[in-house]
Amino acid sequence: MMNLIHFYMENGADLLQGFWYTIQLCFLGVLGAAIFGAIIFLLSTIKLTFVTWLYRLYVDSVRGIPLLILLFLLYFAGPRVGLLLSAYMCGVVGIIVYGSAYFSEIYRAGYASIPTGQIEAARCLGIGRRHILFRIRLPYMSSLLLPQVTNQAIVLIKESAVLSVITVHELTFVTGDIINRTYEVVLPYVAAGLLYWIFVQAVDTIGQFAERFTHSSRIY
Amino acid sequence: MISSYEAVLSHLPFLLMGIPVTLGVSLTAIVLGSIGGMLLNLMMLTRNRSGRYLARAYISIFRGTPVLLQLLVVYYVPGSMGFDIKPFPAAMLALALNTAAYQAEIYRGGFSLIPKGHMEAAKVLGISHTQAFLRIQVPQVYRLVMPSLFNELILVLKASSLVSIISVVDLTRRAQEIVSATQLPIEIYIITGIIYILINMAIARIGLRIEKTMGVYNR
Repeated sequence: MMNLIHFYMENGADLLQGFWYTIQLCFLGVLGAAIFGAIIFLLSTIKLTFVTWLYRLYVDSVRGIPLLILLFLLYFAGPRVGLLLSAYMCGVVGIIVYGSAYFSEIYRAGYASIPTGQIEAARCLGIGRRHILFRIRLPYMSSLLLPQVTNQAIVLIKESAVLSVITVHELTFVTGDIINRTYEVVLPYVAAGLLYWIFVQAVDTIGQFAERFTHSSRIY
Repeated sequence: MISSYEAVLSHLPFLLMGIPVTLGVSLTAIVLGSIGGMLLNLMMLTRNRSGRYLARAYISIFRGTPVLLQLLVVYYVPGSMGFDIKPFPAAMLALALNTAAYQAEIYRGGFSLIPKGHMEAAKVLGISHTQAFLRIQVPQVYRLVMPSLFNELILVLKASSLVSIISVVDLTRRAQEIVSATQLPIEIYIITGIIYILINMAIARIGLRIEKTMGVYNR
């Protein structure tokens, strides 16, 4: 017991520092992926065969490739083509690219599930295109999409552990560091697992709150 | 340029040898995980409260932490306690433990879709509970969850690239080795990426085919 307290006293600060890095990375990565995904989704609504084809190629490629390979490409192959990014930036960009394909597909599914009758009705009532988008489409989509968006955010948070491989000093990397330094294996892993678990649960709870909020303010 | 082309070509067979390893690890994990997932699902359905809590805790832990962390724990923790575990079995075990939690949720969704009347009808006809479970419910559940299972297989296959970190010589590990020998990261990692994409596309195709032949909607 004394050992345990002593261990966490010694290494707690490092672990929390790593955890803070993970939170930062995930915030930037998930936000960036959600925004970049929205842009890609908007581009995909252009009805040109070439655009549709390009979109499918992008989404299927990114979704078919492991994040690890994507990171290797950014981190090791990037500098060869003049893309000089720090490990941290590679990690953020990696999460953004990787997540964007998933987010875009989530938006697409939400967009497709809006009954066309609603849009037709709005048009018949003479509501403008902008209003249809902001007052009907987006509110409709947001309540449909929130669970999936939360879910995807959680997936990306868990994937962020992979960034340790390209030496980003996030939680998993710091944990490995502590293990190498102290030869203690179980305690660091337990702490890291617990921190990830808390993070995931917190995001899940926030998502559920947001869901309840959009449900109560839904206008039908 | 030409020399790099030749270098890549000469290393290609070595890279391709990683495909069976990647596929082997992922498929074993999915099969073992489906047994584990089904057991977890059964534990959640029982009246035994502690069993239910145990299953829930397992699922929460394995779905709430990164698979990389789970992999490292399965590989390094037994070693630190004196039980040496080889990289390959550790990789399979870690992925199986992980996917079991996800598959338990998939099966739970599947079971909830089966009408209660089936079990009631079976009871009336004098079919035992186990028989009804094995011969009536399970076949239907597998048919219902087939798309989700193929999706899960793709996720596991992508996660299997992480086993390279504990020195399993899979596709990713081989790519790394070739890169350190040839210093051609662009070519090698792009080719590796394409191989992963092709494998996943093939799995998705097979999934669609199977879905069509054993689908719920065209019987």
